[in-house]
Amino acid sequence: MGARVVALLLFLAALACGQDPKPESSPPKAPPAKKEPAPEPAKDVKPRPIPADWPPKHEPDKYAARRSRMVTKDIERRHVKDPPVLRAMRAVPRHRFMPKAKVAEAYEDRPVRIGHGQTISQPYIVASMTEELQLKKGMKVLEIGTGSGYQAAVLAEITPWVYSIEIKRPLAQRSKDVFKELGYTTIKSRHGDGYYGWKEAGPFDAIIVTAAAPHIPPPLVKQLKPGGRMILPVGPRTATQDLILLTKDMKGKTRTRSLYPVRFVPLTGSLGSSD
Amino acid sequence: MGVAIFLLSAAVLLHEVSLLRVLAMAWWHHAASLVVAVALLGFGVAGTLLALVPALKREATVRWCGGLYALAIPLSVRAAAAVDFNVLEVGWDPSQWLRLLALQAIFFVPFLIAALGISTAIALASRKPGRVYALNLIGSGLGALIAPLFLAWAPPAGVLHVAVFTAAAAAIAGPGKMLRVWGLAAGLTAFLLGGHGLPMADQKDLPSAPPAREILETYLGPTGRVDRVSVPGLHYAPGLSMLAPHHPNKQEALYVDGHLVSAVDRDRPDYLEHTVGALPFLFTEAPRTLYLGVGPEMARATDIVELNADLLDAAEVTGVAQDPRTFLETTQTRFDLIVHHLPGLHAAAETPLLTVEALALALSRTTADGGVALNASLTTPPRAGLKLLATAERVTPHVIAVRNAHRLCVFLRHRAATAWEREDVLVFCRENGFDPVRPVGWRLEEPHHVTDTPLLEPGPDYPYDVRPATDARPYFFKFFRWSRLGDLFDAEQTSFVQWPYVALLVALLQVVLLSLVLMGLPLALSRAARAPVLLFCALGLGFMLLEMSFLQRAMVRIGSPVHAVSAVLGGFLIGSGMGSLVGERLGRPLRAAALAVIVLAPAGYLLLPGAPWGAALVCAVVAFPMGIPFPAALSRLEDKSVPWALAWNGCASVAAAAAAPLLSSTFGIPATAGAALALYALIAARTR
Repeated sequence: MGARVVALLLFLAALACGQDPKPESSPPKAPPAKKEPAPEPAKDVKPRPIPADWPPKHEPDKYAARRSRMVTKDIERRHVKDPPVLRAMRAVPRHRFMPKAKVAEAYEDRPVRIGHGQTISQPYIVASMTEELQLKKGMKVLEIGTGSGYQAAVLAEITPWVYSIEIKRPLAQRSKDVFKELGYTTIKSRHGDGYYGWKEAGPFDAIIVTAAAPHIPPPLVKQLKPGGRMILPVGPRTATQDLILLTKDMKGKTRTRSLYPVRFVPLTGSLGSSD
Repeated sequence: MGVAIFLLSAAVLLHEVSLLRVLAMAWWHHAASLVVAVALLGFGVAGTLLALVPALKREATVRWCGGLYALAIPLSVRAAAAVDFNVLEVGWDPSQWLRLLALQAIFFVPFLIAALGISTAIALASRKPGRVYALNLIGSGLGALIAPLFLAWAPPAGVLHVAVFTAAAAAIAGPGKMLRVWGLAAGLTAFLLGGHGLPMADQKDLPSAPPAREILETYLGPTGRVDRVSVPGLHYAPGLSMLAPHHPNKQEALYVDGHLVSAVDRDRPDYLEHTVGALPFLFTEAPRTLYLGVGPEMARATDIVELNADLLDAAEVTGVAQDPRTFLETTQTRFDLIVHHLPGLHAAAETPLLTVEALALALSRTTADGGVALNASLTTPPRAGLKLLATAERVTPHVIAVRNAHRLCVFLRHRAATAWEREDVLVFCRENGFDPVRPVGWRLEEPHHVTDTPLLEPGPDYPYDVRPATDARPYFFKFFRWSRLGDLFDAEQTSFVQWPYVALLVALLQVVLLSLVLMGLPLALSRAARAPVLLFCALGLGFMLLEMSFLQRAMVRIGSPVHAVSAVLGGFLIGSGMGSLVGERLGRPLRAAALAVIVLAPAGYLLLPGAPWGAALVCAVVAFPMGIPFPAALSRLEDKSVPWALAWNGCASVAAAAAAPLLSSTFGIPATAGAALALYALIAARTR
């Protein structure tokens, strides 16, 4: 008798929106795809001088071996090849961006909760997305969703000019403190609505959005330089998203490409909504 | 004892319905299903407990259980609130599985207690179980029917109070001062402990909306909690062009159980012209547009049909509060455009609006130059997009579709596009960075969006099931293919797995494994346990599979889930209860009853009407003979086998309820009904 009520639960469970949350997991190997050619840098802009204190020097730490093992096992073996990216992943002390209670999980290849409903991204995803940007030293990059600050730090190992926006004030402040402690003096971060980008600092050679967005924000497309690249997860916030690479050619024409499915935590704030 | 069993049975249904609402509001629906499916195994375990502890088999047990159940209801909710469970992290945080198990165990306890009381009553009446069984069924049916009524005017946590009082009343009803005092004390204590729900998960849309949000209004009803919220900075615009000159700013959003279903910028709706959803509006000026369901583009609608009346009120639009499919079947109006809002639904949810037959019906309600439009999210590899195209192209060859990186709009028409219309679509695409997808000949040589899996008919090895949904298999959001089961164990393929569907499989496996563990040892040791295995498993499986298939069919015919559940469950429970009563007087003709089921069920399935009361009547007629076999078989057992029979029947029922969605979504609803009838045929063949 009572079991027939399972019918109730199964059919009432069909009510209302039930997004298709899928547990976050390692994405598959990216399907073999033609690599978009590297953008030509805009020719009419003088390169800014690289600051003398860049890149920051890190103190040796007891996690260096684990970090190196993580890069070899979880990143290189999954076809991330760009030398500056791999160097950056070996250099940035991920454990410094985690809550103290989670430090032991710092070099596992999975996201970890950092409080305020957010997570620090899986290292493979950080490396893969960074590689897709094809960053060179001297390029200017915008990050939407500072979160723990880890991604911004990885970017700042490749190029000094990193701008990062975070909608949650406590996270924005915390990441600022960590940047200062670790010597990332060239990262400019602020609290704000990332949907609108950072118009005063733009345009940017690259833009990276590190939380799920329901659509590609037009203001960000406008702030991308001709020849620039943007990477962002697009899709329902509590389900699988597509990692989208957007490129803008020298004539300003934009093109997008679906890379692979990913699972980012919902971005709270202006970009966070479901379809 | 009759009153006690009636009240206890009603309390169980009140508890289960309101608990499901509490869990759905707090978590996601498939997480709620996973917890409750296993928790209901308490019904199987109760029989085992009764067999192992014969001292429990007395009348007082029923009333002690009533009081204990009343206490267990609020305590289980409080205990669950202390478990930090996040279903979104199940894939990468192993501790979430342990928390899930903890939740299943927590909610298992109250059902075990209730089932112990009910099983005891049936066991005590094993020589003439018909009356007790009838009271159990009728009480359950009543609980199922009145639960939605309570939910219409009280929050689910409040309706749990009703379940508490009903359970406590089961303890009070009967002789014995001590038991009455016990019932009163338990009821009062439970009332003081209760009234709490579970907090909404942080990751749901509403709790994680921008901090400046302001909840303007909240509505609570049986179909969900609806919130109207002012959300500055939401920027909700599905399918918005990356080149759009306008985007939404200050929006009012609508949430159902914490999920965002719609948001509108009433001051500046011009961004809607730069979404893929603007496609159908290229063909008609000032069209009469019917919107099915409240959704993001309803600002354009002249008519809206939405099942949830609270959602219409919250949206502050004038519309018809009715099941959309029923509306389409009965309306005489012809619309220039019909726009479906396609909310994401659970993989095993019936989608009566998204079948070939439903789209054909909708198209028939449009003018000669009009059509039907639907939008779907696009993923890599595509799933909903391909299925939508396949379904649309089964209805009509005249399909126009455009996409951007993440969204597809499909427009079904009666006729082919003219050259001018083609040009309009291509200009629309060029200006917005969209790509035409259908007709195939319109595809651009240099599309704006590049993908390795274009929206063309896939080959047989495609990893997803993208066959069109039909009324016989109305599961649009079921993409899982059993041939890809191995992907679960391949780290590089797990992202392709449809995990909510797999959750159903996990629930079934848990139920089967736990049943085998709990029953396996007694089976090996006790002849009394072996006696009733086959027959009572067949009875449990057959009854539940048939009931589930009718429920699934009713979802298509009636449309409204709440009405479908009320009609079918109410009809089945009350009908079988009456059958059980009458069966006693007819001498419990087991085989004749089984044969009657085989004759009546197909007719009832095919003739099931769309009106809830009519459906309830048909279900009651079909279920009438179904109430006879169980008590008849029980009365033929030795006393010491009766609790085992209850245990096997309980486990089989729960397993069937977990299996039915998987069966129907894979093979179709008729297959599930057919499996049930095969079991009744087996019962008829093996009995007299």
